[in-house]
Amino acid sequence: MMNPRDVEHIALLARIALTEAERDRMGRELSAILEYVKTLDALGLENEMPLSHVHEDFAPPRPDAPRLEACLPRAEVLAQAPEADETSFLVPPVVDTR
Amino acid sequence: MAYETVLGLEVHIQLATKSKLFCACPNEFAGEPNTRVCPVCLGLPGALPTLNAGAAAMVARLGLALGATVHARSIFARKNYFYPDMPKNYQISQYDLPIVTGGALDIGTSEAPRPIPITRVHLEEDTGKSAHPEKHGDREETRLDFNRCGVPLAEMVSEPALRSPDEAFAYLTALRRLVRWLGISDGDMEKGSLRCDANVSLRPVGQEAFGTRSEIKNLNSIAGVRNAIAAEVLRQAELLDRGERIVQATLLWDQDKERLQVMRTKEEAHDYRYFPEPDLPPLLFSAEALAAETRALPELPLARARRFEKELALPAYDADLLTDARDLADYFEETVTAGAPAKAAANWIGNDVLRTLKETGGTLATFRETLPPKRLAALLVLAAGGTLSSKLARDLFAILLVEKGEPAELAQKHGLVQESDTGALLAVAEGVLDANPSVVADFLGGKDKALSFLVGQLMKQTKGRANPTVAQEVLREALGRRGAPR
Amino acid sequence: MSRPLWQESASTIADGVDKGTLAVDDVVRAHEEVAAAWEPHVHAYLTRVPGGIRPDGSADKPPGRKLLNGVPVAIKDNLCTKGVATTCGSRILEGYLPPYDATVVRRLKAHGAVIVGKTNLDEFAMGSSTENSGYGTSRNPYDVSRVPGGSSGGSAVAVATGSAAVALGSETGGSVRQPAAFTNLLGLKPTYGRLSRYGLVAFASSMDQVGIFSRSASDGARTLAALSGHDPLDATSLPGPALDFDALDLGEGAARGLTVGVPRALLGEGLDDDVAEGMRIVEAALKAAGATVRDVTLLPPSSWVATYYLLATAEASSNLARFDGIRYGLRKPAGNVLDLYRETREAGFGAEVKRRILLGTYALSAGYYEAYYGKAQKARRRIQQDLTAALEGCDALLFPTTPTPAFKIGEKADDPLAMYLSDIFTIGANLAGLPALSVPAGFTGGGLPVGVQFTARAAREDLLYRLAAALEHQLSDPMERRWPTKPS
Repeated sequence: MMNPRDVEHIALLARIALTEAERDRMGRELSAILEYVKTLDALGLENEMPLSHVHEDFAPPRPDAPRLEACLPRAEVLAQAPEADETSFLVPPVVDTR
Repeated sequence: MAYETVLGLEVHIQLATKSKLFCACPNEFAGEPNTRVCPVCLGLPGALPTLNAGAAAMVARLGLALGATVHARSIFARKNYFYPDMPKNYQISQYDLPIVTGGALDIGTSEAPRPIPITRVHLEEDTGKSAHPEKHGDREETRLDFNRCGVPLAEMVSEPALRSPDEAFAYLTALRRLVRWLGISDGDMEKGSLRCDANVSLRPVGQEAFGTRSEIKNLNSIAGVRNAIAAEVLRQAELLDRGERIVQATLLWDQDKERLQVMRTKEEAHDYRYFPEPDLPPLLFSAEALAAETRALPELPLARARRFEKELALPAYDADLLTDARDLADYFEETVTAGAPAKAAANWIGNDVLRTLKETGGTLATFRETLPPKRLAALLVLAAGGTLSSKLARDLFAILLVEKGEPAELAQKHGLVQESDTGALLAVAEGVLDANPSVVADFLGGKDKALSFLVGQLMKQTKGRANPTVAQEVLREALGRRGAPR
Repeated sequence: MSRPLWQESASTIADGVDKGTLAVDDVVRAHEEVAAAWEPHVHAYLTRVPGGIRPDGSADKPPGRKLLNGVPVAIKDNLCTKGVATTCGSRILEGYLPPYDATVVRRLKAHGAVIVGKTNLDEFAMGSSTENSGYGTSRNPYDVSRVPGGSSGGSAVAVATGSAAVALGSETGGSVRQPAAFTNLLGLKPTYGRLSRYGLVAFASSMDQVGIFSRSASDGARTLAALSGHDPLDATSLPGPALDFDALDLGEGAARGLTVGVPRALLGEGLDDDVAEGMRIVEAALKAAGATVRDVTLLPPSSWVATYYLLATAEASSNLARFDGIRYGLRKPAGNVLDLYRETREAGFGAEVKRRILLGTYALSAGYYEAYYGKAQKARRRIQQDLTAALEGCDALLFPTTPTPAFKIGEKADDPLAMYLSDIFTIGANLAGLPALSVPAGFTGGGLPVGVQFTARAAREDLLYRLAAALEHQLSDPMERRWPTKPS
């Protein structure tokens, strides 16, 4: 079901550089899980409505009120960054792929 | 071969809320980088989004103004892809059930409407900004600023119903006017609060099937949109004429060089793996809430222009000019309500007020603090009543901008009141005739034009305050007593 | 005091500190000594804070009285603690210091609790044994050759050994109830939305809930009361006030008149003997306590596991996308952004996490959404309806927490599917969003704890703790609990 090419494609979507050994093992393990998942077909779900939220008991949305105190100090924000200068996060050059 | 241009526009409108879409950070991203961020918009582990009700209301307002359906229930969805300016590597947007569907944006006139149907409008969060790569030591690096993450966007997608670059121009102009009118965005393409991608394809005239389309990005001005589309239409037409296939592509518009650049071909489409956003409830609009938004909707630009034409007998050109912006239309209408004649108000606001604003670089809001509608109306009433000539009225206008006080008083104070009293003018007229015997002789000899010179002299003597019509009558009378013209 | 401080209940400690008869320093020190003695054997903690994190004066004020004054609490390492390492058991967050506290952490502080440390877990809460931690596995104090359960294994061990009076864990598919059953504790999964998720690092957003480990019904209910109540920072948080602890009847008659439903079909021949015996003991005790026990029907739980593993992994694949080496955590340097992502995530995530991300990505991918994610969402609605219907005629359902007692370390590590199936009894409540509580139900002949669980209707945690309290009166006083014996 999940051949190495499928696993490669999914791994690229998920941005994980699997080793060959990982890719082969994942293919086998995922196939076993997907096989098990077929048990759902026995439930006869064609006309069932999908469920996204388990309850409908929500508070109304928040009023449009800004709070500057909610913002973090920049130094704290950048302190956790693997690479940053005094004002910004740094990454290798971004090629527009949007 | 004759081709028909088929155009659709996707516009991202930055909403002018006070806080961001999913967190309470202030909606201001032009300042110091990374100073308007919190765990939520920075996508820190464990942070959760909470919806800004004001942003939802703004999109509802836009939907109502477009005559679209504002759905009672819409769903947020995650659009999953990796990009450095997106902290969560997914964008909270709407997919299957957006807030608004249908409706139309009219880009025509009252005589010739041209409604462009809209597919949908939905809410989504903006991304951060990545700067152009720069040298850092021995490597090239891109700097990321997340201030703009989470700013609310309304994405508006039109049907592919536009048929020319000029229509695209008209569409964006109308949309810009509308979002400013509704107070939901400053709709400025140069500043990035209005962003546009264009989808362009050609088909032989008469063919129903659509041709392959290309997508144009990086459009920074309304004029640029028109130029880019025109260039792309040319490019596709040339290819088709040569019998070549159009490959689906994304193109970037280079504003400085005024040309298109192929960015990538669309073979590798993104798999966004949309699914309903579990962290946010469905967005609900009750019937009452929608009714309240409908009641709160201002009279829209086109409707207001038509009303000016009909009720105030304004020409279409004036009505159009005055409904370019809501505050301008309000200022005009309040001036009329305060007693000014409509056409006069239209002229003065359309010319003198707008010119003053342009010269000083000021806003109408500050201008009307100095010259509120009542005050302008008083000036216009004086002018209309004949108490002021148009030249004097303009002088008074300038005075009103720098001095406090009622127009009538100021006119008196500065001696601007037109002299219409025949008796007073007669004396001056006699003086003028005495001083210019040869001109008098010319007039009496049959040279009618000599009268204008004499009127001019009388105006000079009264420092412009004489009522020109009365002046002329008085002079004729005085001349008449010195002899009849032959 | 007749017994050591570390054996005291949260109620006794809170009362003592309130009255001034107990000093917080003494309480904390006693618990730290236990942690130090047990750690080499069980590795419950990833971070221990000497002296504990004390509430600072600027903390929020609780709406009522302080409920947890001086009570030592351990916290699973996927809950954000400001300025204190929060790794989620993953190398990709090694050294990460959150700049904010989770809401439940803020509320603990507001109620006077002392946070003694961050506990070990399966990486990103993905697992049922704590063997998937990037920082070594934890061990069951009742038998150190066995797992303490997961994913909240460390928190269970802390409370079971006495280095904390109560602990917070998290549940997505049973990660509090299962370790509780393995370690002789009560483990609560609240109603979805009952406890704020703000600051709980997300695994499956539509199922995640903070959970509570305690040694008694009273301590668990007290902690739930301190932490519950609407949080405006979590849009899925239930509106409405906290559980009213003082209004709760936890006396001998707490279960009188309640009806408990048992889905007999779940208790087939394959059921482990010790677990079956635990069920028998509890049923008898319930009847003796004045409750009625009757049979109900439920769908086979095999559909639960399949549904869960499609939905949870899909949501996880999205929630874990943010770990990319750019703003925090591990970065593997690279010349371009694509490689930065791929190498960082390859190096930072463990095998189980990668497996689930891939499965989840697949379930959402173009062409497969309807067959997997879409179908699972429909199955979820069916399961929620089924459980809700079963609860119509009774106050709570009763069935085992786990199919077996704690298994050996390494026993299921190579068979992911077998590991997933050990969640078979717990997952239903997570899918339906219902509250469920695992309670101790005796020991095996070999001295391993056995647990059974109650499931109630939404927001009825009060019924769960009342049933648990009634059992305490019938079966065993929590103060007379069988403590684990430290290996020499």
